[in-house]
Amino acid sequence: MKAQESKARVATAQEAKARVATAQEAKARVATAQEAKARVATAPDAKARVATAQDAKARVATAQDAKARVATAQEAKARVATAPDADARVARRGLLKAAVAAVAAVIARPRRVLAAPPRGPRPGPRIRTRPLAREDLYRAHDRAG
Amino acid sequence: MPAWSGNGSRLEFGTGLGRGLGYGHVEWLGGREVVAVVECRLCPKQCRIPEGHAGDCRVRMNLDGRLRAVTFGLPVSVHVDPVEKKPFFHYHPGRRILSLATVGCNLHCRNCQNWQISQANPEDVEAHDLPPDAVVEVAEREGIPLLAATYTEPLVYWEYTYEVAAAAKRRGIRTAVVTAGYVNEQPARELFRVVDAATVDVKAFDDRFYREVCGGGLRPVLEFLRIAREEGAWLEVSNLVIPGMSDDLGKVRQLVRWVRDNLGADTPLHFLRFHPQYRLENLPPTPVATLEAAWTLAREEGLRYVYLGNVPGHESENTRCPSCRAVVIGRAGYRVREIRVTPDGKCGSCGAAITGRFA
Repeated sequence: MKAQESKARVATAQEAKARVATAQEAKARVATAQEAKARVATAPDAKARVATAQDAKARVATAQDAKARVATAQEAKARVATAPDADARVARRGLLKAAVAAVAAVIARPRRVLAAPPRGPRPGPRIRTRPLAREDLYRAHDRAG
Repeated sequence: MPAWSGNGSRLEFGTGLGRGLGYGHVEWLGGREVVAVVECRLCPKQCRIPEGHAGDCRVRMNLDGRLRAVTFGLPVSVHVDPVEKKPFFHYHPGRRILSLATVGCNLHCRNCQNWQISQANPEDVEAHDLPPDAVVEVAEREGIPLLAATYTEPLVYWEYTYEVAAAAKRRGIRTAVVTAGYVNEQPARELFRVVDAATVDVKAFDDRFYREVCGGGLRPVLEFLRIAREEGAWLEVSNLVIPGMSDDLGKVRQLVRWVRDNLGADTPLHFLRFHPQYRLENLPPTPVATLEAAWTLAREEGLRYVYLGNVPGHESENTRCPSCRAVVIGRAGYRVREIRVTPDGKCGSCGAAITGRFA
């Protein structure tokens, strides 16, 4: 009888032990659930952080784009600075082209024998003269020296 | 005397200065016609002149392959001036001087006061037909003891200047030139055989100024001054002070020292006041204070006779004895008020020597 009672108590104890284990397991699950809940509680912030990060990334992209535009502008400015020279070069090329064309036109012109220059003494410049009058000598004048 | 041959009133630059002159330069024009190019060796520009053209001075032309001074005997200005106007302050002060000029100049100063004739072509200005002997006759008839080639550049019509001076010398009349002195050595030396005096305008003691404002150079001018001194001509130096262009006192000091060391402390130096002219009408007249600063500087450097020109009534117009400081030649503008110098060049007060030619 005693043995049976003892066996029954053992069985009860094991059963209790099993319940304890079950309870501990349940407790662990609750803890896990609470932890999950806590993580869920922080999730909106994470989402905001993600949004912030995405925004920052966009700004970085914008900045890089701006930097590229600045570089482009500087390059354009440099090109503008050299533009007058370019204009001059263009003008020179134009002149050269015109000169070449003129020379080509002369070369292409039918050759003719130049007339011999007139011989005999050539007159100097025609200098107008008038007699020197005595008044010329004493006329007021503003010549220096 | 340089050998030259006249052609009416024209002149060929012959075997005197012309000795060795280049008729040998021949160029081809158009590959067909031979054209003689003559090289004028009168001034440092040494223009190579094609047939029918003139050199930089406008008056020396290549006619038929020969260099000719086409304004020979054709002065455009003939006036009787006081000798002080040249300026000469120590060369027969108070006398009248028959002054003449043809057109032409080998410099092209932007401030030229006589540009209407110095920068004109011979055919553009009416001239007088006045061969050298006729010039001397005019001087004799008017009782004028001195002659000057002036107003433009007498060295470009060298042959006329030479012949006038030679004719004058034969008749006891002295001749002077008022010049920028931009000429080669040989013609300079030959000229001083017959010319007694020169007043030389040193534009600035600055070669860059000569190049940019005058179209010349400084070195030949300094050489001309040395030659004039060596050849025994009476010599005075002038310097036009242009505000902002040739008024740097450092350069003025260099000029003063050069004159003192190369020509002597007795050489008269005239600082001339600029008045707006020709291509520098935008500039103001030189402030008198600037001229006075130059005057003081020159006196401090040891020059004994320093004058300011174009400032009528200024005290610096007078000549003072370097010994007793008495006024020995008193002037008012170009008029001489008193002369207290003996004919042999002594101070009337203390007897110290006064440099110059007075007899």
